[in-house]
Amino acid sequence: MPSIYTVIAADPTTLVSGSIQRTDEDGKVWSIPIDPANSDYQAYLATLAANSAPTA
Amino acid sequence: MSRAQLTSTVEQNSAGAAAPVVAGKNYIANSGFDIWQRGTSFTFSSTVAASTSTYTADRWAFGGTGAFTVTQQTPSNTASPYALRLQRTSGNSTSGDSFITYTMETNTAKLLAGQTVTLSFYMKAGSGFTGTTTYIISRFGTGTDEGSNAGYSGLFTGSNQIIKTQTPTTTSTKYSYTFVVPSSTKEMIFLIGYSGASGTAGSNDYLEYEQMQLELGSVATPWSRAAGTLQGELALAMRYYYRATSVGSSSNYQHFGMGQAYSSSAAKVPIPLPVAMRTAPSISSTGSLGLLNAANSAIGNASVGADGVSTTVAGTYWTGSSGLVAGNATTLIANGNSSCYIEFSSEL
Repeated sequence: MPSIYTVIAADPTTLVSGSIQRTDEDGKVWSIPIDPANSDYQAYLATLAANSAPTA
Repeated sequence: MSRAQLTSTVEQNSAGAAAPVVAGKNYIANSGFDIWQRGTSFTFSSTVAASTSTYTADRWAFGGTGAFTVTQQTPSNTASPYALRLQRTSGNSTSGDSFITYTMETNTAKLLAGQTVTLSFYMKAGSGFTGTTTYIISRFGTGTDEGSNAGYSGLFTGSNQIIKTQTPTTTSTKYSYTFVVPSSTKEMIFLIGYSGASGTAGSNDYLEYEQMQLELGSVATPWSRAAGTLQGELALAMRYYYRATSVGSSSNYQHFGMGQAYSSSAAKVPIPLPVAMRTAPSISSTGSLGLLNAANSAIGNASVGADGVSTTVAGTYWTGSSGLVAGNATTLIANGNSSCYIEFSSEL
């Protein structure tokens, strides 16, 4: 089963910044900063792009 | 005595440079498997590609077919800190290749572009080794830090590779391979391990590695740590991964940091990182953590989120059960156990 991503929006009330939450197959949860150099964020973008690609 | 060792001795005796034994010649961090922040035994139950989720010893990720374990072992050579064992789990009947991988970041790999380099290490096989032989794959790319998963999967931009094979024996033996790194290289991954394992694994189906070294030139000189010292190796490893842990603490309420509640069930806790990391790290927590309230009671079920993360400070927010007072100070603690930890990963 692939990892599940959840977008955590920035909250102007609490001043909590936006991030990406990834839940792995083993249940482990990673909070991923929005940083183009971060490999986990790159993987999220790649997954997003793959899932957005039109199918034949 | 090898030519390199002889040169070293002569140069040392004449107070000259001693290139074969200086720190910094080895381009591989944690090359002696000194550092195992994530643990010393890892089980992979099915086929998996190398990624940020499959790291074992610091800087070394697994990728392979069928069930495998990666473990720390007592080395065969007295000059080695530890050995890393890559073992096909008994009963595994999935055929294919399996590796321990090392991904080099761009700001190091680009220094080797166009250079003649030598990769060396000790290797031995278990008596039940089922690989056809072993692979030593050096794979190169022209992109920037595309990561272990892309490298493992052959998806580096401009992917190019050099493949060597070696038939191992049950005696720990030093092997070396000299090659020229392609001139356009900006990223590099090594895949080292089983080629064509087949049949059903028994109890001694493994490969063990020690003293990994990648250096400039065509001679495999005696191994040394990239950073020269154990503490230096730890700092190198922490550039990519850091674990703050309660394991080994004398308290079941280990403190991790101080912050401020911003609601009855949430608080922000900045955690300074011990060394500047490669990128802003991903963050995860394992085990029961809590937040102390003004009555010195632990508010449990705290889970972490990234909130303003840089390479030097991890801003975090924690949400859990109710019982905090907005505006009050709070301390992030282990909630009655000595097995919880917080991970910070900027691995490739």
